[in-house]
Amino acid sequence: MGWRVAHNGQWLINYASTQSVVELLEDAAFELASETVYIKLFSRGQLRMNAAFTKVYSLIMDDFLIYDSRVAAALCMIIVHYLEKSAIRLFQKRSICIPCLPKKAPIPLLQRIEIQAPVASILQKCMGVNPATR
Amino acid sequence: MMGSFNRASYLALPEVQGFITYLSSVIKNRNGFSHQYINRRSKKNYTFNSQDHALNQYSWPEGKNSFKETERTLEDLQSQLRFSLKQRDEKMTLAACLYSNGVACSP
Repeated sequence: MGWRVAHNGQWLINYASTQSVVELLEDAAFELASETVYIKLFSRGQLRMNAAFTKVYSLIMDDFLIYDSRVAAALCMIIVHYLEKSAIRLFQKRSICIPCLPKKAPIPLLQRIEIQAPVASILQKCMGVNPATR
Repeated sequence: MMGSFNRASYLALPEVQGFITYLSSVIKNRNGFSHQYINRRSKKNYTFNSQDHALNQYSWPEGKNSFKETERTLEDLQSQLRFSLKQRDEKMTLAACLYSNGVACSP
């Protein structure tokens, strides 16, 4: 069965073929909820941090917001309003600047991949069935 | 890139404190904030002056799901994902992640 899967989906499926996605999410949520977050864990590939994964973390954590380009653009606009009102000079206060990530290597945005039958059937169930409420 | 990030130290910075106060006033519509934009595809003009005002006009995809409908979908997905994690069910967790990742679900 073929499914349209974005880059992160493919990464997850590859990851799940050899390692535990449950543990990956638990470790990331534990780290993100800590008073001091070791950011390098996310940049060295041990844990995953990008726009798509913030959406997963926002679902499993009680106090975590998604962060994608739309959120960044909205926050930047509000920050600019704030800086204008408070007369803070933007480049003096890097703590409220939102850094740009390095340009991504070109990757196909969507590609078709084969998902093994058990996961495909679960995906179908996920769309309309919620076992937690049954 | 810094190696670690301390929550309390960051939140204690004066400009961050100031921004939190400002953002709260935007959310509560207490500072006359207003914004408008024209959707590139639909050419519809959106104008709003508070979070509530924006939420009332929310639709995703545009013209389809209201904020309430989207919220219900996300709540279902959240229950699904949390239940899968609690059960330590690898396949269900993967499926819920793929769905929340925006796996366009067209077999």
